[in-house]
Amino acid sequence: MGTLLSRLFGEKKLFGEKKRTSEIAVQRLGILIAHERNNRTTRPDYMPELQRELLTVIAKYIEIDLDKIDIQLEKQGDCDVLKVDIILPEGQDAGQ
Amino acid sequence: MRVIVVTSGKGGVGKTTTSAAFASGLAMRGFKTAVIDFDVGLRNLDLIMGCERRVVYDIINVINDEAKLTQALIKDKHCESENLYVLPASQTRDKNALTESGVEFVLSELEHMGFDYAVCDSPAGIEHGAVMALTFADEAIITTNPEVSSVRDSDRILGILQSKSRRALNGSEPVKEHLLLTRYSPKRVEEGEMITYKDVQELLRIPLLGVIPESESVLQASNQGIPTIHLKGSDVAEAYTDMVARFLGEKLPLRFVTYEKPGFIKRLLGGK
Ligand SMILES: Nc1ncnc2c1ncn2[C@@H]1O[C@H](COP(=O)(O)OP(=O)(O)OP(=O)(O)O)[C@@H](O)[C@H]1O
Ligand SMILES: [Mg+2]
Repeated sequence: MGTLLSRLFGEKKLFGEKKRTSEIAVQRLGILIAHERNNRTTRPDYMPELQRELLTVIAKYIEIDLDKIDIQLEKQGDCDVLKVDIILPEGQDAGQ
Repeated sequence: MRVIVVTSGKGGVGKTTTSAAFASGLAMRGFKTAVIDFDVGLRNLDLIMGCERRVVYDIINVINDEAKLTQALIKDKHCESENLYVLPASQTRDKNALTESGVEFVLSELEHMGFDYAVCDSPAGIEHGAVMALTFADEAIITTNPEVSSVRDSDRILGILQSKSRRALNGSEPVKEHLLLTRYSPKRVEEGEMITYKDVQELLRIPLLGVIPESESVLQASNQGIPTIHLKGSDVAEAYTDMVARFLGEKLPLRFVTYEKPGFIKRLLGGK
């Protein structure tokens, strides 16, 4: 039903009103640019290597996708924080 | 002499259109100005400036000592002030012929000749040609369309300016960055289809030098080989004139950024 409707109306909503897509663009760009700037300014040379090694260690215990890990160096006040985000696959409860 | 690069990362956003208009605007304000095409292999500035039939030598000939700079510079015929010169790019050579020492030589010669400004029209991309165009820049005009890939590429070129320009490498005062939005359509912004100039500025966080509207007159100008700033009375010409004035330190409000809905009569008559 949804696809039929969207096929009929394309990007337009009912009553011909267009979707305000610019807000989505701004939101996506905000995330992307923050991410890329952070990599540019604070990413030391060893980061890709560190990311690879972390991944191999974690993969020994948990099945994860290669692209589900993200490591960042961030400034929080006076200290640098190494932030590691790992998204576990569904059904992989913590403490299992 | 101040060196200003017009750059963007992304192709086709309006760098050459802007270089031609901006350099002409500086000349009209009395500054001796050279506008240099860095797009080796794909020169186009000569066409936009309307001097393509007078090209004899190019920047690579000068770098290789096959011609004197004075022989390669083409005097612009649109500015009554007679202080604007075009330095074309080579159409045939390999891109690596544009060397860093060669560019440095050309710029220092221009300085000796008493030029006030050198405007460098960068090729698209983030490769050799684009890096050569920005290496010696004192200021950069980051030409951006209100569209996702252009905004992202502008941010990447900012990163390159901050890491590869001479000013960045020798730790002197950083390149002064200016944001120029081009091909802006207030109507599409109003309808929520296009990112607002305010959003682009907040995303990139560099000072806004101007907003150039999307306009049919740009094609009219390029058809004839006349820089858009000379199209008297057109929105684009006025927006570029304002931008030049702001560059020279004047405080001017933005124009052509809000959409005025056509009135009932205009709609009836089918006006735009
Ligand atoms: N304000 C504008 N309104 C409408 N069309 C425009 C505007 N500015 C530029 N254009 C058009 O966009 C196209 C690309 O412009 P231009 O050649 O200046 O871009 P560029 O950034 O130099 O491209 P390249 O990356 O290939 O060197 C041209 O057809 C030009 O006429
Ligand atoms: Mg161009």
